[in-house]
Amino acid sequence: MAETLVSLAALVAMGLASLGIGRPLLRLLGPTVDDPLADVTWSMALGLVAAGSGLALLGLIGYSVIVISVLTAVAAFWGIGEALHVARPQHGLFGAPRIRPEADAALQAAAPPPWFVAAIKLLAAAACGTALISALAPPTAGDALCYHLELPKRFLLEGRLIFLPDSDNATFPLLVEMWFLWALALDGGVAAQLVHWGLGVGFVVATALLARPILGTRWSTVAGCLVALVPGVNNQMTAPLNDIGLAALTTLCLAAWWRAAVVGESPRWYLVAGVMLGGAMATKYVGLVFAMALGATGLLRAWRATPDQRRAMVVGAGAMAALAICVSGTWYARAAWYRGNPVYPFLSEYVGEPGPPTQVDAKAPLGYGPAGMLVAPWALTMSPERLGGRGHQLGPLFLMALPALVFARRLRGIATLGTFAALYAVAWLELRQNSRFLLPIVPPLAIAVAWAWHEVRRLPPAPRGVIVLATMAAMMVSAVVPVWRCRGAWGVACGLESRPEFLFREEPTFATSQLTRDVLGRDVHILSQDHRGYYFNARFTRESIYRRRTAYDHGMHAPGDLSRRLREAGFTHLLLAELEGDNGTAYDPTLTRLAEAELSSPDSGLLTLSDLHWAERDGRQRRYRLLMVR
Amino acid sequence: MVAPRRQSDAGPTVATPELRRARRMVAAALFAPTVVRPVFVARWKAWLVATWTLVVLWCWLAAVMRGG
Repeated sequence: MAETLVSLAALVAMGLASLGIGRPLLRLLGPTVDDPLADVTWSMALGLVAAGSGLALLGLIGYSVIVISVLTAVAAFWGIGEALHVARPQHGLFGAPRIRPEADAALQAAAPPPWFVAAIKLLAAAACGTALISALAPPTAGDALCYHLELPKRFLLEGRLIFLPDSDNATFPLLVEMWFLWALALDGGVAAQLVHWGLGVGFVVATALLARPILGTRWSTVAGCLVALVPGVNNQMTAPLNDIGLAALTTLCLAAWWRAAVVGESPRWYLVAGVMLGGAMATKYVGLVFAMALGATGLLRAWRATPDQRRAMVVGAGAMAALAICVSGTWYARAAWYRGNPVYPFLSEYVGEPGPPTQVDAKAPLGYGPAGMLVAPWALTMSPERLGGRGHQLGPLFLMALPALVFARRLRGIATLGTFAALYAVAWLELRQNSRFLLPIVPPLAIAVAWAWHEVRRLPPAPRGVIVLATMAAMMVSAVVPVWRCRGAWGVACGLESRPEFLFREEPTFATSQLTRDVLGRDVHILSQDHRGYYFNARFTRESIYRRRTAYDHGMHAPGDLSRRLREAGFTHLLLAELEGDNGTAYDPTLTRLAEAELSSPDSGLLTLSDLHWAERDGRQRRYRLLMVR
Repeated sequence: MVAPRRQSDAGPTVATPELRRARRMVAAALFAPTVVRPVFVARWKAWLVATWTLVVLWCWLAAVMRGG
């Protein structure tokens, strides 16, 4: 339990520090924010982007856990002062926003039924709360252990933002990984996981902020709660990945741009949008796709605007682009420096260092034509395993509700959001068909769904009742999934089970990693078939990427060639991984084949140190062998 | 001169003030994003939406039970 409380305290400290850094930045950028919740949200987002960028620059000098902790403490104390200023008695943190009353009056007149708002708030709270329980368990997500946590861990251990030639992800934009590095410095992997959970809550609030000028206060709450019930969202809140962070930043960018370009509030909102856009582009390459879709949407609006409005939009877009490049440019410059390609491994066929293939047909199961676009909504809902996995699915609510818009009244803003979502979806279809890359358009779709639900109230009673019951059933099932998912994490979250006990049971590489930590120490370099390197304290290289870069397996004639070549390359140990019944899809068998050939020879330069088996949930055995290179 | 039997026989339509006002209203309804047009939702359309909602929910639950 003490470990859980320490991790939560680290999250709170990071939140307060972000507020302490971001609120002065928000005052500097200058937009008027009357609503306390919006004030806190924008401030924390700006603070996180600034802190992440600062940590990236600090990595060029050198990382020190003590320096990071001291800076966090200073910023957190400043953040306490800013929080007390926000929570003034006449507002409270959740005070009613002071929106222009004439803009809100018509929509407030058609507010959702109180029982519906209470029900969806309860279901969203259950989804977020049970996601928090899951997030309090030590990280076991594959992608997190491969690079989202592994890279910041390596940077901290090495003390700098180093280049890792055998890690394709090392030159990606890594803003969210900088937040994970911050959490690792303060506590550990659980704190980093809680950061992503917090970003999920921020995603929900950002959706409500985006929806407020369009739907009014009550329906914007419904739209925000709907996002929390998306299975892919509450699933990602339990793991330290970066898709939720990206979606939160893109939604805040869209919300800030909306205030400047559509509602016509202060043009200083373009500056806030620029910082958020830079944060999104510094998180993932998908941020570039978002920027293109938003830019195209802005061009369409500018085309229909008056000359004065058009001029303001063009100037604003220029300011956004300039700020975005300032915020994110470091990451692309770093990739260009080390790989010769700012968007490595994309376009690596044409520029820079050769990389893995990026346009793979297996990653585009819907094809690239208009037919794919037509079937995409049904495939995303009914066959999510083809498009990134069931864990990242968007759920049924969008497909259930959005067709009703055909018979709904027109609402100002829905067409613009729909245009943006359509442009983004077309780019998604042509580039990377994975459902988690659609998270940036979930808020616009949620706003459209909320409007569709608003219009359902105008239907005759009998069909309206059927729609309401079906919708409530879908929402309840969507809320049950995270409740079911967290059942294995209650023990470790409440302190009834220790974190190592949990990991021995749930993480296949943990036993071997503890063996290397306890027996071998840190002065080792492991060449591993398994990519999950976070729990290893030693230098850890992925065998598949090393083989692609060096072709070390070519030209081996004698059994001792393997150990000689790897010893000359600086490797001290090999980690062989096999999955029972696997045909080479989980682990490429090249290293296993070469190692077994040398082990069976009398002059073997390899020595087996451990041979561990770990049982999967489906009963299959996973085998890990640790070999020493003599 | 014989009086025209139909409006179309009289040549091009004269843009009376009423016609100009009607054209402005149509243009505003089609192109102005702030206009909210009340749409009469027929009972068959409402049942179409309800049926679609049930079909999607049923198919999704079946997919969840199938795939876990």
